[in-house]
Amino acid sequence: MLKDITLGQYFPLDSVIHKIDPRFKIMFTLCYIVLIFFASSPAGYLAVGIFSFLVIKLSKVGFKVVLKSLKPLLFILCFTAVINLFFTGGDTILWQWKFLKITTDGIINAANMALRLVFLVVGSSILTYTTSPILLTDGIERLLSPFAKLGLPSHELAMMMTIALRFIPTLLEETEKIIMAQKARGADFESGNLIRRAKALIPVLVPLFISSFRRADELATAMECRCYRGGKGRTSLRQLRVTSLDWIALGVMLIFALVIIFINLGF
Amino acid sequence: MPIIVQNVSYTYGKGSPFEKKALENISFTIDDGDFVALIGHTGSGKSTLIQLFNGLLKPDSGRVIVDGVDLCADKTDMQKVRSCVGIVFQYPEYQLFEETVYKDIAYGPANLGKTSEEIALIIDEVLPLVGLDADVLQKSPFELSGGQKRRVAIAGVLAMQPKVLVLDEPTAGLDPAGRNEILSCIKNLHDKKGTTVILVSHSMEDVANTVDKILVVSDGELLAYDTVANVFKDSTALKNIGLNVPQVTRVVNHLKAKGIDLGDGICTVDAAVDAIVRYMKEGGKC
Repeated sequence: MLKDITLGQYFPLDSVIHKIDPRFKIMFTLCYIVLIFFASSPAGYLAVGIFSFLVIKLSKVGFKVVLKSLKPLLFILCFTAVINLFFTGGDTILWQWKFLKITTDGIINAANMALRLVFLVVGSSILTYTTSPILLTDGIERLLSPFAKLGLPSHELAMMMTIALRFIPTLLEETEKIIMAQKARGADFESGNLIRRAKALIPVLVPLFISSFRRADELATAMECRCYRGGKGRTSLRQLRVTSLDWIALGVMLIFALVIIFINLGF
Repeated sequence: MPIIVQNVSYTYGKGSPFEKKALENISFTIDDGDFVALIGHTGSGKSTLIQLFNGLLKPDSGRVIVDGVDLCADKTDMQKVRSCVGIVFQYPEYQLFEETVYKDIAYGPANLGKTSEEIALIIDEVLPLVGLDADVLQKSPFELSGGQKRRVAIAGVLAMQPKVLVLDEPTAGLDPAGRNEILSCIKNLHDKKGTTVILVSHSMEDVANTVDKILVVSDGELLAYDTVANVFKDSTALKNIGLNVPQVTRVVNHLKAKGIDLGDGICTVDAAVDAIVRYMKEGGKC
């Protein structure tokens, strides 16, 4: 069941999307997210949809995996859609029951929000699926480095992110192991009401917290043993280099942005 | 209460880029009261295999039958199966969570619906089996030493009164004294209560000293299922899959190559001593 959580996971494949410089990819993703909110017409969403489709296709990750990343968000997705559906004001009322009413604006709004959320998740999962955590944080560190003059600890932030990302799969694995062990001791996580189920998680959470603290402690010691002293004067093993592929990708991204803006302006 | 494994295959992450075949077409039967070791290289599928014994994993194909109950059927009462087959995972001390040792050992039987009086009796019975004193019961499990923690965790599984006990490297990371204590506890349990024991181990010495039969897995396939002497007879086959024979067997094999034949099937130090004494009595020279 935990294995189904694919959000934030990296798939080490060989594709053009994987090869794009992480700095570019992060900027592209931000750009993409902004553009999703620009595209508010069916034509705009179609363009975003086609673009996303092509990127997923190029990344070789597979649609199944991408769709799976939406699974944990299904509840939020439905919730937003329903709220928008029932509580949007409008003139053309299609259906009404006491304070609940469905208007055409409501339907459009609900569809808009749902689509936006889907694209948002798909876009950001493509970033993490195709960029190894180390490259991702390298990219973030480089992108944030101009702010270092303003006192932003970009290296420390990047290091924190690297560590956090690095431990997601480890902790998932650990959780799985502890769940297995407690199940073998007759624990039942699947039946009973909400309170019972929440209580059933205590035997999982306590060992998990303890092991996280232990790991953090061990990691801190190991880093200190290797003379880690933060970012000052620290060079990187991997130098990020911009290649022609990145410029091509930038071109594609610009064309996509222009298309969305044109559609939005009503051409 | 035999465990029957029939043509079992299991694959992790089916359909994802991380797909990994863990077990392939494995069949064997473990009889009542057997003391079996499961050996294999890291990643050979040992841990996957033991999780099949109490239905924590369901095989992709094939069947696992414990005590006549098919674990793959949908309507099987898993709670009951898990009370029959107790699994002690690797580093079981990491699963401790309660405020006191008593409460932690009581977790398993309480899940099975035992009353507090029954649990008190069970704990009294289980504690000496793992060599713990009654004065640890009110302590927090987190203030105990590593070896004690492990024994508390094993007691937590024994408290479910399983008829089959599976232990995944119960001695990993313990000092030699702790190791011997745990192993003699397990042997004791097998000899006195007739519990079927399946022991996963990387130590060929421990295996040779304790068990009757050995299951050898490599790359998800069953290579051998035979008595200790027979499995350790073929040292090259074991070396090929990254395992080895006990040190004393290696010494005996070297001696044989040098012309001193002590006989076959010597896997423990005691057996080697006997063989050497016999050899010298017969007039052989060392």
